[in-house]
Amino acid sequence: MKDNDIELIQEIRKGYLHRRRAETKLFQQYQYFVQQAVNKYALDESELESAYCDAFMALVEQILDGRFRGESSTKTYLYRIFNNKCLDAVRKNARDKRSIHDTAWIEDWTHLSSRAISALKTLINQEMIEEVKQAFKKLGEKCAMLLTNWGRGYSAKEIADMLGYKNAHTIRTTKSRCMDKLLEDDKLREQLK
Amino acid sequence: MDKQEIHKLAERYLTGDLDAKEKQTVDDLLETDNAFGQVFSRYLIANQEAKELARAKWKEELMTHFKKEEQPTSSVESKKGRLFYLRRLAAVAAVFLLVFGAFWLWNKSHSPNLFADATSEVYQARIDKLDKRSEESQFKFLFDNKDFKQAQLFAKKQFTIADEMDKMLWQERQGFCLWQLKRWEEALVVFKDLEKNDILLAKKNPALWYQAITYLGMEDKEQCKQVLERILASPEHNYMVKAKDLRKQL
Repeated sequence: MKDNDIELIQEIRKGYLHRRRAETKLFQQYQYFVQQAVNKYALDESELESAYCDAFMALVEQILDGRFRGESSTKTYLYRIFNNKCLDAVRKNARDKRSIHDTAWIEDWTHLSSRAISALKTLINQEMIEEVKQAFKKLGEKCAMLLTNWGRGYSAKEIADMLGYKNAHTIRTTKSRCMDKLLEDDKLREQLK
Repeated sequence: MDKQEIHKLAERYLTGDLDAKEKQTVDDLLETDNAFGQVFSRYLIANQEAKELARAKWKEELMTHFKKEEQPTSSVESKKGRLFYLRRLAAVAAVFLLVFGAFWLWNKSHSPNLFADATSEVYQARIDKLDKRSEESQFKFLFDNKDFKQAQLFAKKQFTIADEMDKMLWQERQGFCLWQLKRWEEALVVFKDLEKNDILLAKKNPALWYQAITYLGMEDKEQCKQVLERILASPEHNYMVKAKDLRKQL
């Protein structure tokens, strides 16, 4: 791995403002992949840009959760993900219908066991997903901001710094309260009683 | 088990904080207890939704990089023609450069008094060309060429139009330039402002450190010490070690 790569990865892992700067640098460094792919795939430029963004976000997420171990350079790794994303987009265009694996995202939660994944795939249905999506829309601005920052992979300490909370513990407590509020379900409460 | 307890358990499961035995208990409950499964599932969906909303926002931010570049839009049909178009454009650019270069050389040899002006014209042309690139490259170009005056004006302009998060970066850069230009008072105003605007950074805020080294540039050791004390009084401040070293030297 190049020194430049190591430096960028360290900056991303440092978090918040360092992460933002390093992300911008890394993003712009390989933005030319889009132009290179113009003649390679039957996709228009906006689709290629979207694929590049998806690939870039996947790379950053993998740097953050340690799945990117630096066995290859960031360029090679990003290029591989970008190619896969382009192929996915081409396939999606070829047969424009919803995937039957709507709950495939469950497998991205790396700590879930295979038993849990299979049980959850049976339990989760479209109606349940819609319910939670609707509940998210009703959520207050503070909670929504906290949860989306959490979803972006910022640590409790970073969110505390960003949103002006006292400390990481307060963030954890507030997140827990927000989740309880979000998943307030009268029907279910009755069931549990 | 009530809902809050299930949420806590689910949170620990998703973050990988459950031991093997607890994990097995949860797996068993997911397979046998429907009410437990329902609450757990909703918790997982909510986390996934948060992740997706965050990703959507992030992607929106990333896509603006492409808009800033103002790349020409293309369709699949025009892809083949593009290469030809680019070659022609390159040929025209090469001819233009040759003519421009010849003119510049002629001008250089025939009117030595105008040398400075000619140089600045070439320089201006390069800056104009850079206008088509990203703001980051433009600033880097000016700064690397030690054109701190232009770089400061550029950062100042960007500061007024940047979004909330980027504002801090441009403000910081503006301060660097003023510091390089030894315009200490102005640099100090910018760094003080940065400290106020950048409250979100808390202990990571470098503004205090910048203020300290600006006072040092002004040879005002007392003020410098006072700012260093503020850094030292804030436990775990990112500039703690540097501040300690400088304090010793003073």
